[in-house]
Amino acid sequence: MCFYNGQKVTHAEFIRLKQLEKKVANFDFLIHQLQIGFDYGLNAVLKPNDEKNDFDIVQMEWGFIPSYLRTREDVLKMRNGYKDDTGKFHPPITTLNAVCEELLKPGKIYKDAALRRRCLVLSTGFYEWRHIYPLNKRTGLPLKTANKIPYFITLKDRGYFFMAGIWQGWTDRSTGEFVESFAIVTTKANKLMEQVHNSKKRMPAILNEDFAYEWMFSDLDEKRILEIAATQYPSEEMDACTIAKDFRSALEPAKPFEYEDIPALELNI
Amino acid sequence: MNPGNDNFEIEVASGKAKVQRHSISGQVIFRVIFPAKIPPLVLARATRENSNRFWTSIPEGRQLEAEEIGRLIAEHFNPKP
Repeated sequence: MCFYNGQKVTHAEFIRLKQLEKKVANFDFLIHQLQIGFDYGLNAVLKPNDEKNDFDIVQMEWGFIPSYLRTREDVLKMRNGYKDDTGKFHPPITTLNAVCEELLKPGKIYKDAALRRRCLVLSTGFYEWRHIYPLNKRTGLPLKTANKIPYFITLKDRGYFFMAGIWQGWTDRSTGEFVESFAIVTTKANKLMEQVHNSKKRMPAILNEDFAYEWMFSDLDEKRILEIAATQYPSEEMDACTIAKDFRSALEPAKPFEYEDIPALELNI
Repeated sequence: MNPGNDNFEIEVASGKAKVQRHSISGQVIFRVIFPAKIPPLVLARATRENSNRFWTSIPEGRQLEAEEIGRLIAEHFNPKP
């Protein structure tokens, strides 16, 4: 049961009003669109307070920073890959996303955060690439190199939504810089996202308002954490449209862009 | 948020208050600026658990004002004949 201004309201209404509250308080911050791109920038995150009865909208760095890294230089090495003293190359480790099936596995860097520091990532839409393999004109067989078509994915009738996230504070041991970083929890792709993100067949764990409330505020056991983390938002409540390949540098990244000869998505699913 | 072009005035006890209508992510809020030294009030429509609608202040804490000012805003949009 929730009360807002002394009025009995549903969980969903409570979280909507609290979010509205934060938006009003953060006028300048929220005039920007809350799209989710693919970089290590700052994003809007709903973080519960210590009592778990309220939350703040804060900016966190996307890209979970493990506590064993000592300095920002170590973070960059992890993200970009590096050669050690012997010349051996260590490939990049990406921590933008946390695979839901592995969240609680022993030794995983996300386990403690999944148990103790869950958050919601605010989004108005996210980007994903569809890999389309053109046919060889001579042989009729698919070429080995994919034509990568970017899509912007949104929810129907919802201007914004919540993705399950986990977060962690981190201090640079050399400078004292403190940041909070997060990863977005991913789950198996639904029927729509299987077609769009057809290389990996994954999608963010998008939570409805009841699940969002539970994810952020409730003391969950491991079984329930994994259940919510595996949430597959229904395909029929999502939209996907093609956008320009140079969308990252475009003034309006999410502006629809039509491509010729792209097989249509099967939306009747 | 839009620039708040949907402005109008309502008559309150201390004079005329300016009302700005804003839309945040598709949700409408009203920001009320009073003529006297009363802090601006932001209010919105919300839904009780029993599905009844009510006016609420954003943030919490000014419910009585929200109900009174909300009634005046509603009258602005639906003037009595």
